[in-house]
Amino acid sequence: MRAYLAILMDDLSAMIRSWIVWSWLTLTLLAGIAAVVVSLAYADTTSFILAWGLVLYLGLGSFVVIIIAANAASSELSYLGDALMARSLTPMQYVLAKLTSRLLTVLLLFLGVVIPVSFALIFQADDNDLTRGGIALGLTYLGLVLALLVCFGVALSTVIRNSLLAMALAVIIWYVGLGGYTLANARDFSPEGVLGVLPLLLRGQFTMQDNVAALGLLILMITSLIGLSILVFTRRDL
Amino acid sequence: MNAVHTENLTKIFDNRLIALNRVNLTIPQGTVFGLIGSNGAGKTTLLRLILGLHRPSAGTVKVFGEPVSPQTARLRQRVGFLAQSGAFPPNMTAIGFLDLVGRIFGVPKGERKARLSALIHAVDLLSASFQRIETLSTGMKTRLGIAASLINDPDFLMWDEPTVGLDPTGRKYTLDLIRALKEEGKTVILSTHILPDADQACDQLGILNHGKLIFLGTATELKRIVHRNIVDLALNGDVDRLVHSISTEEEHLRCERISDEIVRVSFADGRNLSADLPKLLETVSRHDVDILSVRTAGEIEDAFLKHLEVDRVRGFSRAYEAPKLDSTSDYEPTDTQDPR
Repeated sequence: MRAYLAILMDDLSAMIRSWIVWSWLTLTLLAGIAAVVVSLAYADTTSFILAWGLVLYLGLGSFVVIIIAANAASSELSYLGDALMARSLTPMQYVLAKLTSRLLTVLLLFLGVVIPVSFALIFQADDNDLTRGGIALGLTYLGLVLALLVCFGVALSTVIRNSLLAMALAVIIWYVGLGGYTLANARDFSPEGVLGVLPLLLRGQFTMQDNVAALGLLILMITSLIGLSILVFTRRDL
Repeated sequence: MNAVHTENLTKIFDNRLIALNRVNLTIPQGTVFGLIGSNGAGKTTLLRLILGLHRPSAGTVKVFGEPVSPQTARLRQRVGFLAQSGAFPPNMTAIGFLDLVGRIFGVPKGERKARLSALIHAVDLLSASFQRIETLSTGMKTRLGIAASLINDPDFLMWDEPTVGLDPTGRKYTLDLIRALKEEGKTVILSTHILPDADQACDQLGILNHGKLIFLGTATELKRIVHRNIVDLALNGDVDRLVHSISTEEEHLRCERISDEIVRVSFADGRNLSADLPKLLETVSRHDVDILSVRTAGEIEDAFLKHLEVDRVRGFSRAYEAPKLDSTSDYEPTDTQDPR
């Protein structure tokens, strides 16, 4: 546990020092303020503005999330064995610490901006149709998708030694996947589909029964990727 | 109890490169063991297998009687490792890295600070302790690695090239440290290219060549392979005339010029070197040739090279004998503990 905590704290402090993290935080804060200003000036419904914001966050933020996640282990593989794993640290502790740190970073960056913006929209917009339950479910979906992307990036970084290659591969697979949903007319998963459904969800027009399966599937995929990362990393020579 | 015990330990990378070939090795606790070999002989691979960083392709490795794997962090708690070529997180400071290693080992905060301070002083890195590791010199990185390997007060140390990049003072300090660690009852594996270091510091030596352990024994046993009745003379003067003269006049001597200055003189079997050497020196001085130095052959380097040569010749023999082997019988390598 202490080795896990040591790596976790070390990685979190590296994340805090990262210019990518600070740049993205600044950019999203500015975008959030802009969304609140737009909601005051236009008569659009807030659910549509927030849905737009979330889809944009997912579209552009995916790239940042991939950068944050896909170099988690690969950037350290050249010295990892000799410098760190040679101490009393197991591969599982290392991967879990990296996953925890990158998940915390990505989710805090997301929720730290989106939650205040959502509530600012509720209280300040002229035409508010957001519900607290809708926001909670919408953010849960987006949070799980981002978590899935983090786990996917970290899984790739445990397999591929070259950070740039791991990132490029993750970007290609992720964005080609999103495009593929559009081409396949997968209504609920393509960006257009999400943009159609998300405002309804944010307005509270949903039943939990309809969403349990999708949420469960996301959680299952996340758990599988975590397991796969640990399995792959444990089996490789360091 | 044995600190390390391996049986038929084999490592094959990518199904083609045999890095280690059936290595059988036992290192008792409290021993300083020198692992010597050429570049690519498999020394670092062996150390990594002992640490559990690599998985064996075949065979077993036990540390303090327990099988090793990447999951056996509890065993690594008792081990201090210094890697070759200073593999460190480049963006960390020296003190930050030592602190991280201390935290991974679970050294309590108060104790960790005291130990960090003592080690930083001991390896003379105080002035560079807040420098990023990538800006440190090779010698500084080696010293940092030594400090990191000692932070958990280990029972067993594995040092891969601990004198690389060190100045003579640093090298002497490191060898003294190894002796001090031995006195404390710690086990040390010293992997090195610098054979006099191994000769000075180690109780036992092992030679790895192309992944095979071709010698295992003490330094004295290692040197037995080279003849002790040979001396190398560094001379200044008409060396050709001297060589000719000795070759024709002295029946029990064989003289061979091996470089511009160096002449190798072999005494016939059964001759007493201490009785014959003064006579040889007298002969040399009669020929008006200055003696710059006299060195008995049979130094550790000669012994090491001789062992490699013997193994190479044996390798050729095996290659020619291979077709004669019965295809149904398993090939058994020769006993690694006795190459002769």
